[in-house]
Amino acid sequence: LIVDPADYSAVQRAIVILRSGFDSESVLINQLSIRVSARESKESESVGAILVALVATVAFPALAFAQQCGDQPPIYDQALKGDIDSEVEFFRGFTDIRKKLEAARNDTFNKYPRADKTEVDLYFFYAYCALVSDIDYLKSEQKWRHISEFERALADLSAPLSTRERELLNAREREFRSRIPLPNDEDDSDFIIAPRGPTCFEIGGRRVCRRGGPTDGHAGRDAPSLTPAQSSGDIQKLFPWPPPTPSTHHRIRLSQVARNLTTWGQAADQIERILQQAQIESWGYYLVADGFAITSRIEQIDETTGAPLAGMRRWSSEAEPRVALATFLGGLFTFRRPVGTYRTFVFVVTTDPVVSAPVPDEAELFRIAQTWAPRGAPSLPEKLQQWPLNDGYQLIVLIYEFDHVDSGRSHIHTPGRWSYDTHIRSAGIVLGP
Amino acid sequence: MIVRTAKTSLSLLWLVAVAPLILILILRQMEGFYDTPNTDSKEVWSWVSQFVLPGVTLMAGAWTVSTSPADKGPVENPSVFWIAMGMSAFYLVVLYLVVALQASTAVPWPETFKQSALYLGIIQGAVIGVVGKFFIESAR
Repeated sequence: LIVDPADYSAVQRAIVILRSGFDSESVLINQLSIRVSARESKESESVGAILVALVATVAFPALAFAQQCGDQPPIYDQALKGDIDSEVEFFRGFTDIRKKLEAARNDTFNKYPRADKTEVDLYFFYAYCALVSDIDYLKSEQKWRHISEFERALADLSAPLSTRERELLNAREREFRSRIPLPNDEDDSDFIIAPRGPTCFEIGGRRVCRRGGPTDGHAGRDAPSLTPAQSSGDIQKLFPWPPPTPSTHHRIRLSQVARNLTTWGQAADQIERILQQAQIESWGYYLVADGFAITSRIEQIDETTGAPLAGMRRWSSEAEPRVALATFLGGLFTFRRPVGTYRTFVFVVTTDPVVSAPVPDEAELFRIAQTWAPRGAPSLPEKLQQWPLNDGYQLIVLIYEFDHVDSGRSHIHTPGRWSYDTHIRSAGIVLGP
Repeated sequence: MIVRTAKTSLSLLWLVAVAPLILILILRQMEGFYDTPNTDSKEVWSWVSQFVLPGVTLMAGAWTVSTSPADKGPVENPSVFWIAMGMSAFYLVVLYLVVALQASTAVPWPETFKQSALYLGIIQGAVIGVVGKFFIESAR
């Protein structure tokens, strides 16, 4: 079997074929082709064909990458193909690739039990390779690193490696990494690359994905994630885009908030000032389509007026019990769990015409909303602060009202019980120059 | 004290204690107290059938047996009767404590039931043993 190392897809096919049927074949490489010969006894060659791509990676990075992953493997089931494409989009965070791939493969094979495993694996690889190669801001070495990692995970999952194979593979990879030192800024793992691509949400038990919204050309693609050490999948779960349908929302021109806002950083500072004035205790930043969002810590409000509860009860995650539970009888005659009314504000600075997505699981949304502020980035990263604002940017205020039974059900009010103005006024938020 | 009075007293203790307990659990279920995510309210009634029904059915069974002439005679071993009363009262109070504390503890309610099973099982064994002894001895 002779394959062209420049055709990465062909290399992959060779690897998958080898691992599925001829896993003890040895591999010889020269500069023009990868030649797979008959079985040989050398231990170093028994690592299996999975090493081929890594070796090829070291030997011919430019050559192999020039082909941009080769031809698309034939998958005739368009639904299967679409599902794999969607799954691969969640690998953009480049973290926990093996875990994500394992989950994605399991999902795929559960959904398509008759699917050909080799075909599926090939397409997984092709889709991931295409995704990575399409990212402009990654250097070729970085792309190779991601692809190698993915490839290794794929091979491991399709045919688990023996201990010896793993040792050899690790040694090979260390060698590979030592040959291609990463630039300094690559070592900074505080912020990972932002998710971009389809946004998925559940509608009636079916996952629907939407490609990213209109862009002004830089925001969604080049921006680092605002959530430290989060994978894109996690971010999608944490702060999905499009956002869940709020109780109420309002669009404001940025010029109405403050005059002469020219950068993202200035807009963020102004919103932070507004939050501080409203005595909102903490907030978190998230990257959204063509902009960023600031989520306020979820607060407990009065169920009749919508005003924040006094003191620390405002930030309590447990509702005040209606009866004194300290006594035996108080506890015994408690038939309902305490219900609290909660609210959170999301300030979105974006050019994207925000369209909200249905809320499939209200309890899950409440649980996630509780983590929005603490898990978001505490401030806008330096490099994003300098990004310019143009006339297309607007401030959209999303307000989410919840009723939550302690340790019980949650319900989001859509539409809300109070108007936008009532919410803003009761929270002490003053939007204006 | 005659046997019949003693049997009635013991049965009334159980009836008076168990009926409100079950009523409280019914009200809680109706009001959604046990309607929490990832739980099954069947566990409530599983707990009831495990720790309330055995004692009640023991006494109901004893009453369904036709009355014997011994019912009108004096209790031969009053200490067994009083031990049965005391242990029953203690056991029923513990049942109430479990239900009452569910409202104030941070432990999820299925967990409180599960944890209570550890000690209730032991207490119940002893209580049923003594109550059973009393009813059987009384029937002789």
